[in-house]
Amino acid sequence: MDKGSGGTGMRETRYLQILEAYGADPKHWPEAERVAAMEFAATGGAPDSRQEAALDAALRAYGAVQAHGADEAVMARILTQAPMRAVDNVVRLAPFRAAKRKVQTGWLAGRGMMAAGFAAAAIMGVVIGASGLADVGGAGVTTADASSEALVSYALAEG
Amino acid sequence: MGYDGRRVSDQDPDIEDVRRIAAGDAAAAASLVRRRAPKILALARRMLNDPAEAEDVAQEVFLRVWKHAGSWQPGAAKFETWLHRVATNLCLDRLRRRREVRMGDDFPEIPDDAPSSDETIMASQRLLRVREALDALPERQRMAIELCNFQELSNIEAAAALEVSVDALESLLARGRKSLRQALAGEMNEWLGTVDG
Repeated sequence: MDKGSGGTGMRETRYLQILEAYGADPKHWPEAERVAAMEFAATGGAPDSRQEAALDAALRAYGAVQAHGADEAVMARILTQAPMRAVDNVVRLAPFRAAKRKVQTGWLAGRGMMAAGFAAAAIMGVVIGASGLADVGGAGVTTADASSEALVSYALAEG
Repeated sequence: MGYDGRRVSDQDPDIEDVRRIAAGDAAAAASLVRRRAPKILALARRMLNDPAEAEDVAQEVFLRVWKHAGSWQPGAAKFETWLHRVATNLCLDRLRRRREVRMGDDFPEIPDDAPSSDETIMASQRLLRVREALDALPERQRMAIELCNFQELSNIEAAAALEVSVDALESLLARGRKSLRQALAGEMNEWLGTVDG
């Protein structure tokens, strides 16, 4: 049997549904009904929510333990697959550019271009290797290939 | 019933980054990864109980970001909701393929420097039982709880991520929580103590 809303705009049936679905923490309650449900809870006649609060505490504790661990290395690996220009090229090409300048001040510009090609190929290998693409399927290969091609194009254009 | 009608994309914190990513801005990519990858990884780790597989899922989610950033159109849903939808589907796909969630031996993850007291051990055992109870739930009920309790999505966002109505989400949540309460009935008083304490 449903009890009245006590002037809160929330009936007990609905309040119980909210508790059973979202738990006892108002921050998880539907935004449109949160105020009414909180007012209903404060009337004193609301059903006991302690069991839901206990389950919330259990889930909160579990979630807190499991939440950590998104370390820098994982995020870096994710970023290696981004087909970006600025950081990819500046960071990854910096050693290559230094090497290229050294070669270019040397005696044979043709060899410099050859070195540039090898360097670009080496970098491309690092990029692909670091991206761990074997596990992610065709879409990843396409993206990484595009990234690597852009990298090589950029390197050769700079040359 | 059960949900508000606000337009969730009005203040989407990711849209500017997505627009810049489409233009090849690496700093925007780093910003988005730093902001969103931890929660996506946590979701996948909790759902799959396998750090390597979870990282694969996160990689796949962001591969799709890189691929679709240029065609992303702000609509009724936040970009984060789309991320969760992709992650949800990838996890559910893997779980369907697996059909049997592996119970790893590496849980609970207690910090190395944590005191090895009886209290710590008991807390670990309690957390292990929570995990076992969650793992015993049907996949979609578990994902509903993951999205609402751990990812702290609104009911509308969680329903969108699961591609169900809000009513259906509430049903998944209520059934999931009921099973959890039953599975953890023997220790609810202990958890209640943590609430009261």
